Amino acid sequence: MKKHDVIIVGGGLAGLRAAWKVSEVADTAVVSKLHPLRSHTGAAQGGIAASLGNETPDSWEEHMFDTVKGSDYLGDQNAIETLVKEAPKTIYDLEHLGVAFSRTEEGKIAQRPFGGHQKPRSCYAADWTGHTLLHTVYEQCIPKTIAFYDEWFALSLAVRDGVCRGIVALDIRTGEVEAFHSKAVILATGGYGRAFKITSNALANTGDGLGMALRAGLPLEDMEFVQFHPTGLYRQGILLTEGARGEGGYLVNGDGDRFMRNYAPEKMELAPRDVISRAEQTEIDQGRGGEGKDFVYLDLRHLGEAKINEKLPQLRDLARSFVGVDPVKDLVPIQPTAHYSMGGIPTTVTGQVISDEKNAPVTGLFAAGECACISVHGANRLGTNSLLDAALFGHKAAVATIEYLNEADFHPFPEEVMIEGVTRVKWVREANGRESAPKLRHELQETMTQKCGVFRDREKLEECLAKVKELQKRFDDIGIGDRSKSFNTEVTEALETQNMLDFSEIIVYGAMQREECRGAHWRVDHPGRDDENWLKHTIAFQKEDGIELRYKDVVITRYPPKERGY
Amino acid sequence: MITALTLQELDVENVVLRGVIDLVVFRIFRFDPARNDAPTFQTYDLPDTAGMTILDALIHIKENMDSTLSFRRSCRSAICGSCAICANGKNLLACNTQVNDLKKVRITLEPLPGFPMMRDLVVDWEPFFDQYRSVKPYMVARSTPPEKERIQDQKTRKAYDEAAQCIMCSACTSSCPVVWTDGNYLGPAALTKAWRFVADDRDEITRERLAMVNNEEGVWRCHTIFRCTDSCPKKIDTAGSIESLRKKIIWHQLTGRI
Amino acid sequence: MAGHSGLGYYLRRVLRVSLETGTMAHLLHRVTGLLIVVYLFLHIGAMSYTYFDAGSGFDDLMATFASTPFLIVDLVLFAGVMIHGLNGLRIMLFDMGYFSRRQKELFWVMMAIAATSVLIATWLVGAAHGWW
Ligand SMILES: Cc1cc2nc3c(=O)[nH]c(=O)nc-3n(C[C@H](O)[C@H](O)[C@H](O)COP(=O)(O)OP(=O)(O)OC[C@H]3O[C@@H](n4cnc5c(N)ncnc54)[C@H](O)[C@@H]3O)c2cc1C
Ligand code: HEM
Ligand code: SF4
Ligand code: FES
Repeated sequence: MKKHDVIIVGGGLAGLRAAWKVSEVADTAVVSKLHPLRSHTGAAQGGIAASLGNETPDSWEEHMFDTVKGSDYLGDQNAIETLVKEAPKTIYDLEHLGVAFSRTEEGKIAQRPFGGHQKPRSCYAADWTGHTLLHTVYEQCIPKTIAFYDEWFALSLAVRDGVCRGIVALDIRTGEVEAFHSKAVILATGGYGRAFKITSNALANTGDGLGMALRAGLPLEDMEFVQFHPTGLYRQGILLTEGARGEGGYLVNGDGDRFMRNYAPEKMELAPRDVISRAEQTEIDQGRGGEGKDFVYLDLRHLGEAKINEKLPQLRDLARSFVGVDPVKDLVPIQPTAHYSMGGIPTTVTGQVISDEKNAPVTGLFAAGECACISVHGANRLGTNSLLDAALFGHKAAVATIEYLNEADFHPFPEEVMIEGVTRVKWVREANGRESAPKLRHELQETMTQKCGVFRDREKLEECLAKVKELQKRFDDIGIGDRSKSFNTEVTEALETQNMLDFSEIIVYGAMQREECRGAHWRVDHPGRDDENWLKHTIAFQKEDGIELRYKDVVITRYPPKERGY
Repeated sequence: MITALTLQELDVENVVLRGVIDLVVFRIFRFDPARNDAPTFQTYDLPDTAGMTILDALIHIKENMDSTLSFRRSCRSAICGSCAICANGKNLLACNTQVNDLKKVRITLEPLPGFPMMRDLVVDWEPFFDQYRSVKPYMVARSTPPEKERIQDQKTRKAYDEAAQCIMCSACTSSCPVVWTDGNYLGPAALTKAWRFVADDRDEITRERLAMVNNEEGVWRCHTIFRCTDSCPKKIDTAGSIESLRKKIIWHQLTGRI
Repeated sequence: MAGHSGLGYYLRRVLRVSLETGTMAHLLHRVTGLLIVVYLFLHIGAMSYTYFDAGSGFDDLMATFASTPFLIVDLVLFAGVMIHGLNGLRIMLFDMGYFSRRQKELFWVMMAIAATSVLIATWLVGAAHGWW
C-alpha cells in the first residue's frame, strides 16, 4: 500500500497545476497512465482565453457574456464569473512560470480572435499553446517534491460513507495492482472523445475518471453535451486548429461556396463550433460535400505561405503528413470531429465533487479539468476556455484541497475496493471469451458517431442505447490474448473500453431525455431551445436497475437567457 | 511499388498466392521480460498500406493479427512524443510516417536504440528523463515578477521558438552514436532543453546553465554527426542548439559577458 | 537488460544505421582520421629506417616510393587527408555557429572540393611520371 497526503489522478494541465500548488504544503503524488508530458493537453493548439486587452480593449464582463451566450445559457454564471475574472491573473502566472507565449510588437502576450469571442482574447504560442502550457507546468513541478507514478492506470476510487480514502491503480510496467491511501484525491483524467469514431482526441482519452466515479456510485452531470469541432481532418478526425479560421481561413463546400454565409451571415467562419459543425453536416447531408462525400474544405490558400508557416506551422505539417495535401496550395478536406466533453463529474466552484443534485459534497474528493463539470461551459464550450478551465480550476481544486487538509486525516482504506481492483484486472488478463475488446470498442465508436452525433433524434438514440447495452453484455464475454504482466496494453485497452461502455450509456440516455436543442445537443425531432422545461442540468446516476436522471437548476446571476444568434 | 530486386527479399510464396504485389512485410522486434526468452523478430504481412501510417499498421496488427504486440501511443498527431521507434535503422514517430513513404517492402521496427528495453517496442525512458532533469529543465526567475506579463521582444521569443517545441520523444538522443557508447553524455534532447532556457531572457541563471553543460559530458561530447537533427520529427536543429550553446560558452569565456 | 551501451553496442548499431549525410560524414571522418594516423606511423618508421641505414639504401627506398603502386597509395592518402581536413573545417564552421542548418549541402560542397583536388593531384602526378 502506498501512502500520500494527496493523490492526483492525471498529469495533464489540470492535474499538474493542482500538483504544483498542493505540493507546497503536502506530500503529493501524481498517478498518470501516460507520462505527464504525453497528456492530451499538449495537443491543444489554438490558445487560452483571458480578457488581457493586449490587442483591443477588453473586459471580463464581455468575456463573461460571450461565455454565457456560448454555453447557450446552461453554464452556471457564478462559476463563469470566477473563470473570467481570474483569467488574466492565471495567464500572468503561467507566463511567469515560463510559458512561451507569442508576443505583440510591444512584447506583450499576443492575442487572436476565436470563435464565439467578440474580442481577440486567445493568448497563444503559434499553434502549440497546449504543448507549451503542459511542458512548462510539468517542468515547474520538477524542483518540487512530488512523487510521480508514471504509467500507472487508475482503476477505482476508494469511497466509503461519503469519504474518499484513496485509489486503486495498476502499474502498467509490472502488472501489479496497488492501493494508494490518501487524505484527499483530485481527479483530472481529461476527456472522453474516444467514445466516438471520428474524434480529435488522443487514443488515451477514454474518460476513465468518469468510469471510476460511476463505479464509486457517484453521478455525472450534463453528459449529453459533446462538442463536435468543425475542422477535423477528414477520416482521421485530427484537429486543425480553429486558429486557422481566426487567422482568416474560409470554409467552402463541394461547389466552392463559402457556405457559412447561409448559416451565420455576420460571424461567418468565426461563429461558435456547434453552429459551424451543424452547417457542415447539413451541407454534407444535402449532397454538397467535397466530391459529394462526407467532407467539406478548409481553404487557407489566400493566407500565403509566409503567414501559414509563421502562425500555423503545425497545421501545415498535419495536413501534409496525414492526408497528403499542402494548405499553401490545396484545399484541406475536413469534417466535424468529437472534440470536447462539456459534462463530467459534478463539482462546485472550488472543485469539490458533489454527490447529488443538492450539492452534497464527497468529502476528500476533488475534480478539475475536462473530466469535471463545474459547469462553466454549459451546453457548448467556447474555444480557448477549456485550457483556462483546466489551468484555473486545477489550481482552485488544489487550494480547496489544502484547506481541507487542515482538518483532514487518513480514514481507513476499504479493503473491498482493493479486492475488486485486483479481481477485475485478473479477470481481464485471463479472460477467455469469444468477443474481441477492440471490436466492441469499434462498434461503440461507430454507433456513437452515427446515432449520437451532431444531429440526434429519438429513434436513433433508442437504437444507440440498445446497442450500448448489448455491447456492455458482450463485454462480459471478451477474450484476451496477452497474458503477460509487463506493459500489457491489451489489458489496459480493455479496461478503457469498459469505462467507455459505462459512461456512453449515460450520454445516450441523457440525450434521449433532453427533448430540445441547446448548444451542442441538437434534437432534430425537437427543434428550438426549451427554457421552460430544460434550463437545467442533468445529474445522472447509474443504478442497478438502470439509469436515474435528476435535475439541477442553472445558476443565473447576470445574463438572463436570450435568443442565441450569430 | 515492388521492384524486381526487392521481390527477392519477399516471402515470394505469399505474393504468388495472393496475387498482390503491394504487400509490406513488417519485421517487428519482440521481447517480453516476463518470459526468459531472448528477443526475436516476428514478421507480419500487411497487404494494403496505402494511406496508412506506421502507427496505423501497428494498431492494425495488434487488433487483427497479434494482440500481444506492445507499443506506446496516444495523440496520433505527432505532439505527445509517445510513439518514437526505430524503423529500418532510422528513428521516427510511428504516427506521422506513412508506411509507403519509406519506399520499402520490408520494414524492420525496433525499439529506440540506446535505452534499456522494456517490452516489444517499449523502452525504459528513465535514463532519458534523468538527463532531462539534470539540466534544470525549468525557468528560474528569482526576481519579483511584474503585476502583468514580463515583456519579451519578438526577436528573443524567436530565438528559443524552435527549441521550445521539443516534444521529448527522445528520437534524437536515441539516434546519437555518442549516447550509444557513453551513458553519461547528456544527449541532444537535454542539451536542446538547456538551450531553450539559455535563449529565453526571462530565465535568470544563464551562467549556471552554461557551466552545467560546459564539460566533457555536456556540449563538448558532441561529435556533430547530425543524426539527432535528422531524426527530430519536429524538425528542430538539435545539433544546432548544441553549437549555439558552444558559441555562447566561448563568447562568455572570452568576454565574461552573456 | 544489459548491452544497450558501450563499444560493442556502438559497433552493432553502426552496422545497422541508416546512412544520412551527417552520419556518412562522421564515419568517413573517423576512418580517414585513423587512416592518416596509421600512415603517419608508417611514415615515421620508414624515415627512421633510412636514418639508421644511411647510404645507398636511401636512394633505393626513394625509388620504391616513386613506383606506381606507391604513388597510388599516396593519392589515396591525399584523398583521405583532403576529406578529413575539409570535413574537419566543416565541423569547425558549425562549432563557430555557422551553417548548421545547411550541413548536408556543406558536406557535398567539401567533398566536391576534395574530389576536384584529388583529380588535379592525380593529373599532376600522372604527368610527372609519364602516365599520360
Ligand atoms: C486536439 C485538441 C485541441 C484543443 N485545443 C484547445 C485550445 O486551443 N484551447 C483550449 O482552451 N482547449 C483546447 N482543447 C481542450 C483542452 O486541451 C482540454 O480540455 C484540456 O487540455 C484538458 O486538460 P486535462 O488536464 O483535463 O486533461 P488531459 O490533458 O487530457 O490529461 C488527462 C490526464 O489523465 C491521465 N489519465 C487518464 N485516465 C487515467 C487513468 N485511468 N489512470 C491514470 N491516469 C489517467 C492521463 O494520463 C493524462 O495525464 C483541445 C482539445 C483537443 C483534443
Ligand atoms: C588537415 C587538417 C585537419 C583538420 C581540420 C582536422 C579536424 C578534425 C576535427 C574537427 C576532428 C573532430 C571530429 C569530431 O568531433 O568527431 C578530428 C578528429 C580526428 N582527426 Fe583530424 N584534422 C586534421 C588533420 C588530421 C591529421 C593529420 C590526423 C592524423 C594524423 C588526424 C586524425 C584525426 C583522428 C584520428 C580523429 C578522431 C576521429 C573522430 O573522433 O571521429 N586529423 N579532426
Ligand atoms: S529535439 Fe526533436 S527528436 Fe529530440 S526529443 Fe525533442 S522533439 Fe524529439
Ligand atoms: S502518438 Fe503522439 S507522437 Fe505519435
